[in-house]
Order: sequence, then structure tokens, then C-alpha cells
Amino acid sequence: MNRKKIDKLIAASYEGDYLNQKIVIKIASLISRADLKKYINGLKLVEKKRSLIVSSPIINSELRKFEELFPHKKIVFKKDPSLILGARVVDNDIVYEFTLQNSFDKILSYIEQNYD
Amino acid sequence: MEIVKNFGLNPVLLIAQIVNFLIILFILKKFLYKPVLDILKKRQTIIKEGLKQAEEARIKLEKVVAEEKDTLRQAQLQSRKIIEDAKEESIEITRRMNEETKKQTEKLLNDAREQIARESTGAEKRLALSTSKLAVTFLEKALKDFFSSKEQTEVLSQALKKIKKVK
Repeated sequence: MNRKKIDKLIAASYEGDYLNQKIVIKIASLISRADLKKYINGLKLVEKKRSLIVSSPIINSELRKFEELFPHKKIVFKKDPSLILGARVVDNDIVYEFTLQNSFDKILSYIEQNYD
Repeated sequence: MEIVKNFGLNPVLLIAQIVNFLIILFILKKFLYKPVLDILKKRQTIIKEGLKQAEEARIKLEKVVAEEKDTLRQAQLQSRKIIEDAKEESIEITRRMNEETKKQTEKLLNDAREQIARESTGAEKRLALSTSKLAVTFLEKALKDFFSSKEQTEVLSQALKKIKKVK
């Protein structure tokens, strides 16, 4: 099976913005092992593109505003106390860093690179 | 004639004696005097030659002695010159070696100073970095529960605004 057909199968696996579990199971039972591997990898890639990971030391209602900001994204909230303050937003390949921990890392990196 | 008779001279005998004498003289001259004279002459020539050679040898010897003296004098002069040159050269070599040693020592010292400076800077940098890391770790632990929910929410709002601007 070529890439185009796999892409079509992946597109067919979605109902609106969400993955349909029944369709996925059906497709998985019908295709060969090699194609299944390609199909799963493709699904993972699409899921990654459609997902937005928001990490923050606390989870509160303010985080819901990300859903308004990224309406077509599946938003995953993660609690990470090591970030201290602020939030880290991962949108596929783009990372938005607004954390105190990142500021500390930048300070350390600056000291390491510019100390003479 | 009387006197000759009284004297006892016999003219014939005298003549015979003269003839005998002449014969003997001729024989002697022919067979004895000439070879003897020849031998004497040869000997004289040999002696003269020997004397001449001896004189030449003496002159030659004197000349050789003078040459030897001259050669010795020259050799002495040359040896003195060689010794002087060697002394000068040794002084020059010593001076050069001293200069070279001084230069190398200075270079080694400079290298050592530079290395010490580099290592000091490196150590300072490592120390500063360790101190900073320690401070950051301390801050991270100290600030973990330091911020209130309100402050956290405020920072999140600011982050959202910034993302909106970037988007």
C-alpha cells in the first residue's frame, strides 16, 4: 500500500476533529502488518499535529483559555511543579516557554557562554 | 883533468851511471810516479768534492735549521691564533647559549603564566557555574510552593497574551 492510500485511511479515521475508535479498529483488522505499522506511525504524526501540550505547575480554569486560543487542537494539560511558575506550550514542533524554570536555565546558559 | 883523475872520477862510469839514472827515472816516471800522481790527484779531487759536499751539507743543514725554526715559529703563531679563535668562539657560543636559554626560560615562564591564567579563568568559570547551578537548585526548591494561585494565574494570563501576539 502506498503513502497516499495510508493518508486516505488516516483521514477516514477521523470524525470531525476526533479520532473514531471503531473505524481505527476496523482498518487495523483489515490491513497487513507492514501497512499497519505505517498507519499507526501516520496516526501518531497526525495526533501530534492536532495536539497541544500545556504544562504548568498548577491546573486551574485559566488554562481553559488555551482551548479558545487553539480551537481545533486537542489540548493535553500536564501538571509539572518543576516549572515553578508560568507555562510551557508545545504545539507540534513549536515550543512556547513562559516558565521561571526556563528563565533560570537561560541565566545559567548565559553565564556558561559569556563568562570571561 | 888531473883533478878529475885525482878525484877518482871515471867518465865512462859516470856516463853509464847517468844513463842508468835516466833509465831508472824514465821507468819510475812511467810506472810509479804517474800512477801515484794520478791516485794523489784523484784523492785530492775526492777530498775537494767531500769538502765541497760537506760545506753544502752544512749550508743545507743551517738552512733546514732556519726553516725548522721558522716552521716552529709559524706553528706556534698558528696554534696561538687557533687557541685565541677557539677561545673567542667558545665565548660566543656560551653567550649565544645563555641568550637562547634566557629566551627559552622566558618563553616557558610566559607559557606557564598563560596556562595558569587560563586554568584560573576556567576554575573561576566552573566555580561560578557551580555556584549558579546551586543557587538555581536552591531557588527551584525554595520557590516550588512559593507562588500563590493568584500569581500563577496572572503569569498564565500574561503567557496567553504573549502567545496570542506570536500567533
